[in-house]
Amino acid sequence: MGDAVRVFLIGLLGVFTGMTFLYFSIKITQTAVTAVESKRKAREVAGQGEDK
Amino acid sequence: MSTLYSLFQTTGLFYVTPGIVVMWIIGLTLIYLAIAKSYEPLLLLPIGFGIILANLPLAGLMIPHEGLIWKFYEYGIHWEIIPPVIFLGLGALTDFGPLIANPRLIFLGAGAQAGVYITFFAAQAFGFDLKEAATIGIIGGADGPTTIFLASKLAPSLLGVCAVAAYSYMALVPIIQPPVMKLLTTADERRIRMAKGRKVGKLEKMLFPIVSTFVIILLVPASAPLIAMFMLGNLFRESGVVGRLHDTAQNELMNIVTIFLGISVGATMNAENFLRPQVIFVFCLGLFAFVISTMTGVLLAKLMNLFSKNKINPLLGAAGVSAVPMAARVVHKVGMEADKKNYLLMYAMGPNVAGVIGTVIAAGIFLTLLGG
Repeated sequence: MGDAVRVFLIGLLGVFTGMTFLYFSIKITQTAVTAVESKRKAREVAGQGEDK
Repeated sequence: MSTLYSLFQTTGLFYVTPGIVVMWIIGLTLIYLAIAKSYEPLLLLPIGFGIILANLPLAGLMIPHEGLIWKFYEYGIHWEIIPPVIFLGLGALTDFGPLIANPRLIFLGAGAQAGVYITFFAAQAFGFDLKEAATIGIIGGADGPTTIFLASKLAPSLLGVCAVAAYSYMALVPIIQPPVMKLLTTADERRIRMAKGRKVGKLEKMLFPIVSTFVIILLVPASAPLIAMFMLGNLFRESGVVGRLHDTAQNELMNIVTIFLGISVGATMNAENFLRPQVIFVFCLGLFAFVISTMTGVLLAKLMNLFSKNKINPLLGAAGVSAVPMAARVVHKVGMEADKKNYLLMYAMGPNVAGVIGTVIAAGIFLTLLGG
């Protein structure tokens, strides 16, 4: 029974930990992508300004 | 007369037992359900046929090292080839957009896994050993290939029955889930409209499988075979540069391995192995797992609502069991019954695909703790 309790608790905790890490990785990726894209847009706008 | 009798002894008919006839009936029933009722036909039809083949005396299709289907089983399932290849195809078919757009829904995919662990505990209390209990518990994840993957490693004697239970209950999701969902939610809760998700760009979708591979495999290395192939398939899809590989993974390759998967799983179910009292327990516990997974998903969504400004429709929690896309469709349908203009399908796909990842992580943890 002790082993079952250990597997039960570690298992549940493990799944939630895994998903939490995945959640933060999505958030970090989103932030990074947004930053890269806004930089690119800013560069494009600056480039257009120079052309003019 | 004695010559005739000797001749009769060389036929399979001489060795037919009542148990074998029962297995034929089970095989024929699965074929009937697949054809007449469209219950997971891609799997239940070859599984049903495999059951019949495995129970034809003297056919020898499952004789170790000699039988044709034994070779399919040994090199396909025991060598862990087929379930990961199916995951490659699933990855190629999966759009993670709804999940990336609303990442907090990922926790609903985790919440539904509580059913896996509660059933594991229940199965253990019913006298199954830890490895068998884990295999039975994972049925609650509603993911056929993961169930087969785990069963082949932890409890091969339960592989056939667990696979059939998983696929049968997946087909019955529209019947099993709605009463549980309605029981745990009020009409007002079912009418909650989700905030519109943001548009997810191509770069984010492309990065997701790469980042997830690092995160999940570094955390739970035992989940690597399934996660690696799942994410590779998804990268094929999102990269947009390997159209041929993407097409092959989601169509031809997946169809080919599905044939071998179905027939091999069916063939593990011979009368000796299948007609045991434990099998009834496995089916009952599998149903219990499905119900509990649905309940824990819905309850977690309600719990999240206590701390969240943007309310989640708690029905979405039920999509946390994998069963893609059936569980998401059921959520959509039950939501529409409460409010005809509440379109939940796209939102439900988020926890639905998170459920696939959650089940693989749960299986990986079982493998890590209980050994191969």
